[in-house]
Amino acid sequence: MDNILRIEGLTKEYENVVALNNIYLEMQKGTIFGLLGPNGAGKTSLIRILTGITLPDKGKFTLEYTENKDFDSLSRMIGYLPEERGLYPDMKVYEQLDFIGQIKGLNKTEIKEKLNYWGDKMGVSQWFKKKAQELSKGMQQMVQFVATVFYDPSLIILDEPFTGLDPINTNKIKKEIIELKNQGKTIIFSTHRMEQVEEICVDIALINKGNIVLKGNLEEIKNSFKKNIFKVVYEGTLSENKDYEFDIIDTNDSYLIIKDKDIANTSPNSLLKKIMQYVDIHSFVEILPTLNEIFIEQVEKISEDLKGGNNE
Amino acid sequence: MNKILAVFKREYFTRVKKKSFIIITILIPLMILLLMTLPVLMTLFKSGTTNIAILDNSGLFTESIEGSRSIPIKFVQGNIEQWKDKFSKDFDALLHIPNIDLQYPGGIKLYTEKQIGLSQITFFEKQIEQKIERLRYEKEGIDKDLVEKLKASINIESIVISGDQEKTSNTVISLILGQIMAFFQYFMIFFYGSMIMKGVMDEKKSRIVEILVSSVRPFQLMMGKIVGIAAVALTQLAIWAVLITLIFVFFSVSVMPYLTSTQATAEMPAEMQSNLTYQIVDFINNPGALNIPLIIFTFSFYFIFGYLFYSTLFAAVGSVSDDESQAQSFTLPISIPIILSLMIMFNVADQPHSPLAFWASIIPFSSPIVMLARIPYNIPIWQLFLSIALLIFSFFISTWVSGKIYRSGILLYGKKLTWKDLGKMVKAK
Repeated sequence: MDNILRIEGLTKEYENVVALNNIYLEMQKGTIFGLLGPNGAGKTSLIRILTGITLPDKGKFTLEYTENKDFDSLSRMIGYLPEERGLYPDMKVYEQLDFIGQIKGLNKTEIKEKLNYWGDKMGVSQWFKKKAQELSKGMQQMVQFVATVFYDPSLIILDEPFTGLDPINTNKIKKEIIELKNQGKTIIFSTHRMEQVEEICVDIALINKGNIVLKGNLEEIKNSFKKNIFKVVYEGTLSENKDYEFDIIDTNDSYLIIKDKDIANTSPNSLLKKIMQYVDIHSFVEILPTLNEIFIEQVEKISEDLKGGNNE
Repeated sequence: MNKILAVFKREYFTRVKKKSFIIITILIPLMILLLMTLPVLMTLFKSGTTNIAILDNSGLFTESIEGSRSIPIKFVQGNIEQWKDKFSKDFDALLHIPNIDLQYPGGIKLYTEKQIGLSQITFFEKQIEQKIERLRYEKEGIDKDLVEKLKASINIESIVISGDQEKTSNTVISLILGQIMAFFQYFMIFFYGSMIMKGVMDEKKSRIVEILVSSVRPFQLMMGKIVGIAAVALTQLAIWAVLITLIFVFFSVSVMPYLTSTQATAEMPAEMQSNLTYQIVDFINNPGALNIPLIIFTFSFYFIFGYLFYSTLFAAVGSVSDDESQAQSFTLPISIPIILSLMIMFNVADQPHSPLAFWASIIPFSSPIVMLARIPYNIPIWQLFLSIALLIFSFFISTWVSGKIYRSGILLYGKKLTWKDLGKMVKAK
């Protein structure tokens, strides 16, 4: 497998609080990886280690197949849009981007060329001569996005990239992220908003209190957590008292939520056959759990396991 | 290194291009120019000449009162009542000397329609006083010229004996020079120290710092900023030096003659005049008495290292402060030694070899200011070396400590930090 980033046993403690506990993760080139978890779960701690801002207490990571990259080349290969982000208010937009290019180690012509390209692409060029404080918040966010990607990093880390963006800009950036992925960039998308991830991520990791609760392919995870329940829109009547071959979990004037009683041998088709005997079916859809539900369920399960462990 | 350079350039150019920098840099020499030329300008704007008519009924002063270029005079004859009404047609003022008693000279009046300058009144007062004195001497049978000859004016010349050499010490010049340098240093440490603190806080407040530290090491960021702002200070200093020199040249060539022709110098207290002029003349004749190269070296050294030492501390404070009030509580321990140094400095300038002067010019917290006030007084060279060595050493310590605090501080938001927290930051690996 083409794992551009391999994290092996990263551990970090801050004043007796375990921010990261023995984290193992792999990311493939050209994918969008969702790093999920509530605030304070350890996402930012992990990102700060990857960007070289802090050092881990234990463990290592490999970026583009080499270990222990020095800070300068790491910073050149990584584009980082922090959650806490901003611009110099009294500096012109072009000058700030130029400054970022310089501290990333680019030369003047490279900077100019890349900024012209990205400036036009994201509609930022028109503000190049303006000071950041003269721009609206949305405009500033676009400038920050350009600052993250213009120098062509191979790993792009976006920490809550959509906070404070209006729907139009959110779409614009989402489109850009997908395009970057198609060009072969690897993108880590860190957020506590699970629903944002479901649209664009292939692989995810759920992290809570410094531990990875769940990781893998998003579709596979969802399937493994599915409860074999189906939403049925129908016409006809079902008697509440009668004993069917399926359980009615929820009901409403227009639809039913049902689950096969014979869970060992069930399939969508067999369940459909069973209900077709009683009513006319307009639609029949499997309900997959949302990431949010999976996450909450997992976290609860772990804390119950812990409690159980304590009682023994 | 390239990254420090990039940070340095950003700090330097954004600040030097600022309107406020340009205004302050040009305004201060202009203010000095204005203050120096104000007396002259005032006389120039005062309509040029004041024509004075003198009606001397006593007949004593006809030959002894003289006019000047800006105050031409003309003696008139007659009665004061008739002149009072009509002098304003031909003259700006009428000086009336009645028939006075030499013992109790009184009743001398200057009639005018416009307010007249104090210096013009003293101009006549002096001449009349001199004439009356001379008349009194004559009356008592004393030779005025002999009295002048007998008058004594002395100046104690203090000589510093060091080794075989004897040096004239210019105490007044040393005092003034030392105090000016020390005060300037005090001002610059505070002004540029707070600029660094504010710069760090702004990066934190505007949230750009997290983007920066993923590309630049915090230490590089801090040093780039400190050195960049130092370059701003030096630029300002250089511009001031050039402009002020130009002003002095301009002043001595074109303004000074006007000033001496008026009464400005005459109004200076006599002792101060003689002492200061004596020392200035002596200084110009024999500048070797003051070790000018040593003074320039010491000033440059303490200016740069005093600034560097304090600026690292100011940077650390900026990094742990989210708002002005928090910054204030952390700056207090830095401000107190600076203010104390200034207070000690005034004492030291007067007693440059006291134990207080010695210790205050050795301890790095006060030496950048206090040593400057001592240095024109030829202090023992080992004291200077000790002080320099300690300041350089302390600069490395403060850089190390501040670097540690800065590194953790800039990434902490919205947390009220205590001194204990700062201690933990320093100890952290």
